[in-house]
Amino acid sequence: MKKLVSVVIVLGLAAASVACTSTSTGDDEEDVLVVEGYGAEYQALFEEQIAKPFTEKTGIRIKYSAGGAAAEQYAAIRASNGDPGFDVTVMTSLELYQGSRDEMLAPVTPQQVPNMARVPQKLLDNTYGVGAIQDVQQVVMMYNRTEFPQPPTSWQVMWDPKYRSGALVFNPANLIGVYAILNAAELDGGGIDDTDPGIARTAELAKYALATPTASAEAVPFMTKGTATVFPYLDGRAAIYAQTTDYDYTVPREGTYASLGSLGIPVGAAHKDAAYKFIDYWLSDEVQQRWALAYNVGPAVTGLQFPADFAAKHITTPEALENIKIADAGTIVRNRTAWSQQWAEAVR
Amino acid sequence: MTAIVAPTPSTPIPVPQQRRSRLQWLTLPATVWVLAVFAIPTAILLTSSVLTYDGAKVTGPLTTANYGNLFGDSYFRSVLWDTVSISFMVGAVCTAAGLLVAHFIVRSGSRFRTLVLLIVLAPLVSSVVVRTYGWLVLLQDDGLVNQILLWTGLSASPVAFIGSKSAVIAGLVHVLLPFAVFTAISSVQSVDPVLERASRDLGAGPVSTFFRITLPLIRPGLIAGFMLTFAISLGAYAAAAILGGGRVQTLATLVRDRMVVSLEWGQAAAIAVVHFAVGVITVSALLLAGRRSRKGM
Repeated sequence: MKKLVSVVIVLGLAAASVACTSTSTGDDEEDVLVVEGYGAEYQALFEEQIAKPFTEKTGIRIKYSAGGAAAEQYAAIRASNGDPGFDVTVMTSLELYQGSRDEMLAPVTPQQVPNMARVPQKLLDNTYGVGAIQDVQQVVMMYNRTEFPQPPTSWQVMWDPKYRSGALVFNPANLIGVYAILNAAELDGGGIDDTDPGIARTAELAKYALATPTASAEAVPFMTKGTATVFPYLDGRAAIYAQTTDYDYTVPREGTYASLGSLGIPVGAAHKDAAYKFIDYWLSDEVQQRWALAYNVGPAVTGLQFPADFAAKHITTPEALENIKIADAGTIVRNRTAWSQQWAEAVR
Repeated sequence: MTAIVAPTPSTPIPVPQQRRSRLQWLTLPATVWVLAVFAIPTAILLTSSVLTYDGAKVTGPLTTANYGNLFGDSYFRSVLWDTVSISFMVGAVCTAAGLLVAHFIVRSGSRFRTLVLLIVLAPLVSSVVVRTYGWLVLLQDDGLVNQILLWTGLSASPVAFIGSKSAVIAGLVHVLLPFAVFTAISSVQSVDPVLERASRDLGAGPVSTFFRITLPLIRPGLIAGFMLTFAISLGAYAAAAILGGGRVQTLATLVRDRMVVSLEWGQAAAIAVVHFAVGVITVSALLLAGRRSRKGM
């Protein structure tokens, strides 16, 4: 009898541990779509601008889960062999490239998502057949208005002895850091295939820089305190802090790179049909315009009208999209470890 | 303050054979748990470190290339060295500071002993991430530490603590000091004060008494405290990630980068195995040293 009690206790503990470690979301109903995305202001905007109206229109409820960076979300997809417990994830075109290569993301075509037909070819080329671009951000130069009465016109200003002690050097673990290296490399004749000049410039700047953030949120305290002078940032968040701090943002004359906000469906997602409907909804004109204005980013479809001051700061026209540089995802994915390592050695 | 009673040596009470076999059942849940959450993942980790990956797929035969690539890489070697040196410093500082605090708590008879004990305990009741962010606030350019340095004239300009090894060490010492203190307390308690008094009566000064009588007796406890804090530091992630400011890389942050950012799982597993091996080798060496120290007493 006592042995039986012990066995029951052991089995009970084992069952409890399995229950406690289960990753199931418990959302098995057909009308619930689990979306994994960024937290903070992104989540608040998503709930208001996307999730709520989508549910009103389709009756499909959205359960939003705020995860970490896009790379972390993709790592979860790969670690779970394409079944991470969510149906759609907000990521970047780099993760779409990786997902296509690993066969971890479901195909997304204009047949499944009719509104993709209105997405410019330049953006479609960066979906690799396994996702959709839903917004276009650009790497801008954030500057302190109290230090710069006129907007700076070149990335070169970050190395100016007058401003370099307030510069922020982003870690390439964050995409801003990758694009910062590419922009720096181009100043000395390098580029994505020759980043050594960019790494050398980064090493030089790191000797004087204010900080070496890994996440874009880490730059916020430097803006609220006004200690940063100039640094690369993405226009979505830049626009928020341009309204609440002494900072503004501009695109230098050398041009800049785009960061493509993307939606992917894990290959093992439970609610693929709802996921396609959701992506199609996000690519509709009405939602594209609303999201662009709310999140301060460029839309993924053309032909929308925006206020002039908004259009001047974001990628909203076919011409602006044509001019912006889109780095080759394959080259970034292949070289990111080496760049990160070189960066880490440079900033030590 | 509750009285701290020195443990008295006791003879184990013999347990009947039949009861002993029944008691062995009690170890089963813990054994199953350890197998499930430690042994199996460790086996998977070891296997992953000798697999060849192409994206998410395993391709090719078993290989030692992941290890070869690691040790052929000067960057990895420097990260390994940084991790071990930071952990060593944390272990040393915690052990020394823990001994001082423990000595005060056990021997001083001060009415502030309870307060000191509470201060030592405080870090254990808050999240490690919160505590580490607390250090971020204190150590940043306009933080309290820099304000004091500037105000006292010890520094003419703010010192860049964030992104330095010293910031990571400070954060880890704060987190791990209670472990060293409690280990040292039990060691100091086990030393009969009569021995120290006898030493003083025979003419030895307090310093000489400490080094010739107390220290040899508490050495096993100090080694245990060092071992504990060193081993935890080796795998600590939050302090390096937050206070390292992206400039200080340790094995734990490197594993995360390889797993999440560059998706090189074979390499990540190999780093984790090296990390595990460093911990096992160091702890084994310290256990051996502790045993020899006890035999020599």
